[in-house]
Amino acid sequence: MSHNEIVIFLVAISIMLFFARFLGEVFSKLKQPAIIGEIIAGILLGPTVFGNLMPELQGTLFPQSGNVSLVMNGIVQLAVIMLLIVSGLEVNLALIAKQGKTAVYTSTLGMVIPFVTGFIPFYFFSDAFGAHDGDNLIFALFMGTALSISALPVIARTLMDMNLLKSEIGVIIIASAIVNDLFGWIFFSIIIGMISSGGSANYLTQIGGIFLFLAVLFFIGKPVIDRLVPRIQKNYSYPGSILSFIFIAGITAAAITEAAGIHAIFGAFMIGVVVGDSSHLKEETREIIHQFVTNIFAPLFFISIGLKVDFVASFNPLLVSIVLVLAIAGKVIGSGLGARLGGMSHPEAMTIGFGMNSRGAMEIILGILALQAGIINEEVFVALVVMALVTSLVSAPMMSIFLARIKKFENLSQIIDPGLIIFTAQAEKTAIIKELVGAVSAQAGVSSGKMYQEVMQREAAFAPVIIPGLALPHAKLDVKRPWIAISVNPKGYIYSEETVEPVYLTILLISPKDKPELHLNLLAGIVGAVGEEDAISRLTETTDKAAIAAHFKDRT
Amino acid sequence: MYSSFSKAGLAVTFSPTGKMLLSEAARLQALFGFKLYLLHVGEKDEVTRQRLEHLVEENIFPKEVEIVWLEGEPAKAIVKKSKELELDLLIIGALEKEKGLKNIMGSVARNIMRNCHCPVLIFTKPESERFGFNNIVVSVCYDGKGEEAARVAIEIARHDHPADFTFIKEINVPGLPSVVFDSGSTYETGSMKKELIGLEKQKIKFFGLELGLQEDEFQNEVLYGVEGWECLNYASETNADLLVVTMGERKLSFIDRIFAHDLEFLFERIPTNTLLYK
Repeated sequence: MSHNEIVIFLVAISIMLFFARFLGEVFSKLKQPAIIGEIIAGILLGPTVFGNLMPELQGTLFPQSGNVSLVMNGIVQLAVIMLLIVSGLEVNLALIAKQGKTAVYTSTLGMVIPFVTGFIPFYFFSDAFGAHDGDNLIFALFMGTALSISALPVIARTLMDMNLLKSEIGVIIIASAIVNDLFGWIFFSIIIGMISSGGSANYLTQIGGIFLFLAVLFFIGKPVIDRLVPRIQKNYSYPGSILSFIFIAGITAAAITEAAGIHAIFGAFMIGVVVGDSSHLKEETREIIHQFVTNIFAPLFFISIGLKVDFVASFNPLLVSIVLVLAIAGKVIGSGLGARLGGMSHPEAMTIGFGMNSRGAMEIILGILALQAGIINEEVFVALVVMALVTSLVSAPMMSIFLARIKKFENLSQIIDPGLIIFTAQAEKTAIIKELVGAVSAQAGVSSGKMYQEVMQREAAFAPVIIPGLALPHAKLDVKRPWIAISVNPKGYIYSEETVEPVYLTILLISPKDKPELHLNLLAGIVGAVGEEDAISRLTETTDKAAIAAHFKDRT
Repeated sequence: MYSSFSKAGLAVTFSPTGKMLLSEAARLQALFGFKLYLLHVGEKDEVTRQRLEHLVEENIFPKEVEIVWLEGEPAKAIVKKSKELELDLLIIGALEKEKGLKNIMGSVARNIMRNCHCPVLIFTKPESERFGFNNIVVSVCYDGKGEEAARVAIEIARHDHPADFTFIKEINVPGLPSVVFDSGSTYETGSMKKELIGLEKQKIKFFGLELGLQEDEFQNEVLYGVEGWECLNYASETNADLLVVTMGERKLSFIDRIFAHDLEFLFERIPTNTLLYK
């Protein structure tokens, strides 16, 4: 490279990084996936906008050929490999192995149905969609794969924002998305292999090569890596040495698979899977790798897409609509049906369906690789990018709609009812508990005598004043759902001989006998909500029952 | 008096460890008052019978002891007999780690741990003169079985008065590091973890109180990380001499051994004497 070329290259990289990160941050602030901002930055800097307005300057800064372009391509190639290593790290094989049938059904149907909805129309009508001649099978296989993949990072982000990451639905979505990612990349590698092998006779050799690589990796590579990871983390500089190790292993595997005609990304992804599966790998290391790749390599990769493709010229509204409809229908129906067969209710299944629908980064990586390999043309690529962005955007709002219909009575906000809040002048424990039991028993379908007796029996076992000012009598009974009744005594009363400080809030919790963990969750949740600074005084000063209920709702 | 176990079996051998196991079994019999069956796999001849009887005489057994002769593949024979005798505890000795292929295919002890119908107490560090467990770690499971396991631990602790009696819980949020990938900050994930740990600590506290413990009778610890793995590390690092874990309903398969999770880690490496409650 000449002196000038080096300068252009460095300026281009810094401009790309700046715009990608800036728009990425803007979209994050708007609670949208950062990747959307990064791609839009590319569209702005690429032929679509900047190239149209100032073609000469754009051509100088981001040339499509020559040394600068070559080096830039090298960096983008490296970025894809890094992204795939990171994606592999998140494939938690144990999570898949230990998930029950719901995750198995959700992931299987969430993959098979979109694959079929992608494969059939594109196999029979590929000419209309712009496949290259004679590539019908490969094109249709690719479209099936592209429609069946999910994007774990976007999904995880959405679930976290919706406070669902730790919930049953969240874990099912994450586990199923991982399965889809894993098989998606394996399928894609087979398809790429089919192209490079150049004839159907060689397909089997290619597929055999993939399975041989997997077998060697899992039965030899995995135990070796599992032994190396703790030693490296312990004996050498941390986190530097383990980061180097992961990238060296990933890039080496990428080179091996590329040389074997599979594709570099496959080796990188699978090394990520194996390293990520090591129990020795520190959580902190994962986050550092994520930070490193996300903030430097991912933006460079995603912005480079817009630099290469003219989104306006290649925008085919019909194709975009078809891809969008097939993608959403296939994924939501497939995953939703799987979840339903796995025993989830209708709104839960729909929430899972839309949760799995986000395609995000994975789709775009898949698309650009297919574009490079000549499987698809720019129009199909643009349709895939639009589909990836739209599915990521609609995921959260659609999930919210169905989430609101789920009535499982598992968190305080669904259980606490302003109708079961009592302001009392009673200043004696048994009288207050009787009042609370009286309010709950009829609705819960248990006789007040039995409920009172059970609660008082618990009382004898251990003192229920857990934090000053709050008494928490409770019992586990044969009820279908948990019940909570709250008694407020603004003046306070002495709960029992052992307690010195007055009690202002008495909260009765009745939980189903067969859900011991739910009982503990609710006890801990109540203590968390009431234990906040000034919570007791705020809750006893008001006479507004709805405000008291809202205090608990805000925190769950 | 209520006791968790009324019939227990001990897989007996003539090794030095075997002798120590008998001593441990005698001590536990005094604690729980169970009838003890000595399960011996091998041919029933006069010499062996005398050796076994001699072993029994070396210890003081406060309750009844019966020798049971078994034939065939040891793990299978012991598991089968345990079921026939309706044992509610089986005591065995095991190595901390099995090497190579044995790890995948399973040793006698591992096969018993996997397949026995009742709780298994595995001694990796038996002692001939134990006065009591001094550091008991209970990996908490909130379901019915988990409660039973904790009750057994409490029964032992009330008898042995260990210096440390800790309830631990492992938690993990799958997908959390991925959040960082999409413009999340480590501050955000860090605070989520902190919040979850706080909530879990409260839950363990209530769990203990519900079982009739006083707040000062037990410690609680929440470990964020790989479930099934962190509790083993904790037991090793704190030099626990008894770890109590609960085995879930689902039978673990060969696939679980390759993609190890939860109890599979325990089968790979038993960090200390362990009560596998099921």
